[in-house]
Amino acid sequence: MEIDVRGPRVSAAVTCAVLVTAFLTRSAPLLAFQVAVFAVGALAGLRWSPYGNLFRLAKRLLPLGPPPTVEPEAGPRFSQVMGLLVAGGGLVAVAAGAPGLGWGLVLVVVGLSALLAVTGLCVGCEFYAAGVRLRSRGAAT
Amino acid sequence: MTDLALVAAVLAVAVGGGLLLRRRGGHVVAPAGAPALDAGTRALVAARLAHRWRGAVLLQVTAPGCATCVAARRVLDEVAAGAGAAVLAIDAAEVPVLVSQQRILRAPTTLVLDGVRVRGRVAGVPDAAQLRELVGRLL
Repeated sequence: MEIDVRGPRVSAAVTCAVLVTAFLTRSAPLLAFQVAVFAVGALAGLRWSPYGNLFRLAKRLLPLGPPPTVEPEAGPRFSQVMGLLVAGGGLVAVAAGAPGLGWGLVLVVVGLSALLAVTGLCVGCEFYAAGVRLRSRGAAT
Repeated sequence: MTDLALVAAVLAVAVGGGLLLRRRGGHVVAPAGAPALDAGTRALVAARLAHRWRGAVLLQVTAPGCATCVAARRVLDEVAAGAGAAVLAIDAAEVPVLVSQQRILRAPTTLVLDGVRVRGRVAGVPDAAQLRELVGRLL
């Protein structure tokens, strides 16, 4: 499935805002909410991504124009998995009484989602591509 | 460090680092000695381009799930159109010898070919001006 390249960037911006708020208020419930959002996108696919759907709604209501380009959904979806693992790990750490580690992991996700939102650089997507290359190299040799 | 300062620092490092990486990614470098393509890749390019392979070729090595490949391709098409060069995109999986010989680590990596010699390489989205300048010197 091909997706509008703006979708993941908008989702990343919302994610960043949610996680910064969670961190500043040390709100585990808000963090848990974001982990759940990651889980939906990661497990059910980007079509079900809550923020992605908000973006699609915005496109219907506002004159945002057609997608400047489209990209395959595999990379961004893998990034949702990475977000789920890191933010989820942070949530577990916070719940287990290790808030330093927990919120530290949240800040990692804050950094990477800000990076994607502002520059369009998707680190998760790069990892995914590297993984595919490694697998194909293994198959070729 | 106060929370706000910490958040600001994380954002600054992440976004700043990203912008820096993006700029470094666009640089066109000329590999020493203008290495020649391996036989396998040569055959593949010849087969795909056929009569279009006359002068400079912008060979883009791609990988599935590579989002920047699309943006990079637009720059390549633009530069090639202006210079009369050909553009060819190839998946890294199809050219494992090329990938290892040229030590291609990132998708997209674009090789600027002059005949069968690699005259330039760019990782990520190329700097259009630099690319145009290199291609112009070749044609």
